[in-house]
Amino acid sequence: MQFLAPAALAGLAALSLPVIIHLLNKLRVREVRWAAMRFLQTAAKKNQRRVKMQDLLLLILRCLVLALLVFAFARPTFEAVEKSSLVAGDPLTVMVLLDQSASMGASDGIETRFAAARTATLNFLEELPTGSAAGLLLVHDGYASPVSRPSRDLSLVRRSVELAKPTDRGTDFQPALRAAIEALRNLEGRREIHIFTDNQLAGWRALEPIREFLATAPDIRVFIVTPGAAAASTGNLAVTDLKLDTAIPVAGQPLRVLAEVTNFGDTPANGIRLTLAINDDAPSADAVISQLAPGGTRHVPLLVRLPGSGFHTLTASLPPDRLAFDNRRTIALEIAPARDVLVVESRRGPAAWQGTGHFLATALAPVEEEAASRHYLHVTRITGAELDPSKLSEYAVIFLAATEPLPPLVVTALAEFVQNGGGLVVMPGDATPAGLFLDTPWPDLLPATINPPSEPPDGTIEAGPYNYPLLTLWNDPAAGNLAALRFAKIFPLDPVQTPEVSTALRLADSSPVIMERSVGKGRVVLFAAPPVPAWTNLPLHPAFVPLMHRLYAATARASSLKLNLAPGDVFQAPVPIDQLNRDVYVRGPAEDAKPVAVGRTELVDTQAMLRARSTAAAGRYAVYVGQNERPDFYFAVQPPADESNLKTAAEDILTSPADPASGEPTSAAPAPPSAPLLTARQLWTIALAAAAFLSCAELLLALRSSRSR
Amino acid sequence: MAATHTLLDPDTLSRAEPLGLFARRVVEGYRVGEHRSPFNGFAIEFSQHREYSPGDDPRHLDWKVLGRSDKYYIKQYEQDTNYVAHLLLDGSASMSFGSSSVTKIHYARGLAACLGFLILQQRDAVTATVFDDRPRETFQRTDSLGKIHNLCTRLTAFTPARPGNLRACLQDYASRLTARGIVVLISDLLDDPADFLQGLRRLSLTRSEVIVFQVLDREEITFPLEGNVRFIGLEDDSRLQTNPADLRKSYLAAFNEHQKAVRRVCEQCGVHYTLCDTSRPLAEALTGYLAFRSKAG
Repeated sequence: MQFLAPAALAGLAALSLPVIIHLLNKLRVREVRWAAMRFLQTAAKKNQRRVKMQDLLLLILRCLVLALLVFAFARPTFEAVEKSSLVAGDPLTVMVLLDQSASMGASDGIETRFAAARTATLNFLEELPTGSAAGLLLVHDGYASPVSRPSRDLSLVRRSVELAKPTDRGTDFQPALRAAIEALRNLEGRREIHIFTDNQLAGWRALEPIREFLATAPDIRVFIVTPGAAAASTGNLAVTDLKLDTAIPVAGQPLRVLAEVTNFGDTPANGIRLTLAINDDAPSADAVISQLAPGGTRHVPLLVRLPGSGFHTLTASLPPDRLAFDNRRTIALEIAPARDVLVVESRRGPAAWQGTGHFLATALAPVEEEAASRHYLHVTRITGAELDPSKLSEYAVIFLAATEPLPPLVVTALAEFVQNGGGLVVMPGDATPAGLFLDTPWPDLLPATINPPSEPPDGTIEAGPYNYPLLTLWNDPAAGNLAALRFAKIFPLDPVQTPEVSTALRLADSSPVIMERSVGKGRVVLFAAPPVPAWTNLPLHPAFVPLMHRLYAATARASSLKLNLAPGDVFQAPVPIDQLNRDVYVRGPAEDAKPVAVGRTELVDTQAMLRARSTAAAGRYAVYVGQNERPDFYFAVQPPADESNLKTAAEDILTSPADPASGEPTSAAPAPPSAPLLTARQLWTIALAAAAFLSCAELLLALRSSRSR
Repeated sequence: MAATHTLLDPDTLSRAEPLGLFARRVVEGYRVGEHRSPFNGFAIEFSQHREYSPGDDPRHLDWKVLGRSDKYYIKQYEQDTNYVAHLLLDGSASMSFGSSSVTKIHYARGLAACLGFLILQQRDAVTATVFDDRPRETFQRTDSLGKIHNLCTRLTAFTPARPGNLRACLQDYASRLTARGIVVLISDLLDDPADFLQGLRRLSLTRSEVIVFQVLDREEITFPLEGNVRFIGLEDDSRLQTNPADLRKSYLAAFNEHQKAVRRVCEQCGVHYTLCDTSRPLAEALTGYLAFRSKAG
């Protein structure tokens, strides 16, 4: 332990004051000749020992109070500060890193970790020796640099600290530490980095790279200061994920939304009420989690109906706790109007049921014929011969359901259709010779080479759980299972070895039966069998309808809008060209937020675009173009889930070999790096509090003893 | 004469004089006075008849009874007498304590002198004894008011210097009492209450009326001392250095317990008890007691 103001320790001489006063009182005696000595002696016999003990205790308490006051004025710190230049009084060149990640919003009921860190930072800047220079980086999953290089204008740094606000972004110390070291690397004199943070464990994911990088600058010292981190509660309930669990979101139809709730506290949470609100209206669905064990996670399905097409947001909310940002989570989605799907098939007769795409078309639009026009998927069935290459762009997804060989012109158009973002589902069948797909451009489209059909020895499919998004629905036993699926005959598929290819489903003998490939902006899904009962019982399986809908949703020419962002991401959306150079306003997620101008729409290539960059806070954003009264877009910013885990790292994480996953030092790890990375924490407030406490105790004891005598 | 002027406070006397100090019980005087005697005599108020016996004075024969019944009866009458007041003044060293110019012995002397004056003025007799561990100064019985100066001089001449022994003195004095009278004890009563009880009980056996005046200093009652004090005993060489504030509560508890015991002893022996605070005027204590006495009968 060291002292920032060691001269104040001279005040320890004041300890003699109570002793001197005590002795003086003993020496200053007056004599009284007294008659009633009998009572005095009785009283003295009864009390003298207690009185002496109380006097001694009071003397010790008074000395302790004085000692603690002197101790506090001497500004004690952990011995780590011993090597800090603050003690030496020489000018110091320092980079201050102030953590503004979401976890800094955790409160101990009085102030947040961020407020405590900001106060500590300002105090630290006040104490810097004359002639020092300081820079300031605000740390989150990246960093902001209000004062990117050390400056002697400390008032500027202080002002920047005062203006800093917490964000809902994640924590990653690596980029900011790198920037800080680079800023200090070529400077002279004593150089230090002070990180004011809650030292959240999640921020040290890249611990080893950080250590390696710090080793390149051994003369730069790093100090981790954690004001308020210990005081804040670590109990925290969070909505860690919120996603749509319905393949095709449609207005007026029930939408299944899956919310993930995690208990990061140390005690079980009971009776947790989770609500779901549409567009910030009153909650329209809710659920109660009876109990959630410490560290436990629960997926809660909720059903809602969206009022109409267009942009919507869904917000899941938990009751408030000490960490506010993760009690709400919002997703934004766009409900598209009815989409067109093309099923290309071969027919054995004039009746619809004689087409190879009959089961498929029925699954895509499972309604009566007269209601088909009102269904959200408009399915068109044609044969390969009727396919008009010029009209392909009218469709979102094209299914080739065991169709006859297609003319080269059509195949080329299909390739272009996929490149432009269309979805193509290829289901070769009896009418499709396997060799057909060897011709260009099929090898560039398909995820696998198609071999001549054969009968698999065991037509059952692999057992779950399924990781592929298309099939995760069937990981929930309530949604049924795929165990009864059988493939009597398949086209064996040899996957193309490129990163764009993935296998969605395999047989029990690992033969792929559903594969996918990303091509340009679109996707191609290849089935090993056509949707006809002679090849597989898939068309007759209950899973067929939801599987085809999910397949449609996965491959459809989706909107290029990215509506759900991480904090700090830039929202951008195309706007009609006539809205070029219009003002763009964004209303943030704060309750009292008003639309704020964030720039103008601009021309990117040939497209007018709008951009919104201020997305530090999590929640729902509304974007207005020009003077429009109704928002043109909604988008949502979702905080990183790992910020909700308030577990902190060991304070000497940089110096001691530690397992970043547990925060506990590992005994078998090598010696600490050469850089003297130390942790500083001032103790004067504790000493002052202890002095105040002892003063009260002394007062009470003095009062009590004077009454009892 | 100087001693008389010092001890006899005109204000006290003028306020106490109308009240007087009359005997509550029968007393055995040596001449006719204002107080009931235990003896039957031949005065004015008829008391009883008794049969004539040879040697009786024929003047006291009830001739009317003789004439009617031819029997010889003697008429007897109640006799009034004076009383002798025994003033016992504690002269032990503890009586020399005083937080102001008035010490306890000063106060006690004044009280004894005033009582002596009142008693002599109503033609009763007074005898006074100053004692510590044994009787030291004795003022012989007198019923002459002219001797009050002698009494005052004797009282003033005595200086407390030795430790006291209340029990022994009271028992000794009781053994020498020959006739019933009034015994007035003036002391600070700081001895053990058990000793006090024994002495007082012995005194009560003489069938004399006993009156106790306890003279205490204000500081002894409230113990208001502050600072660091070395206490030195007045009757022995015991010393105690302490901060009185530290012991105040315990001291007052012990003191009050003692006072309760003293009062209890007085009640047990049927003795009038009066506490005299030296910070209060003597007239207040004396007239207060005399008024109470005249009302109680």
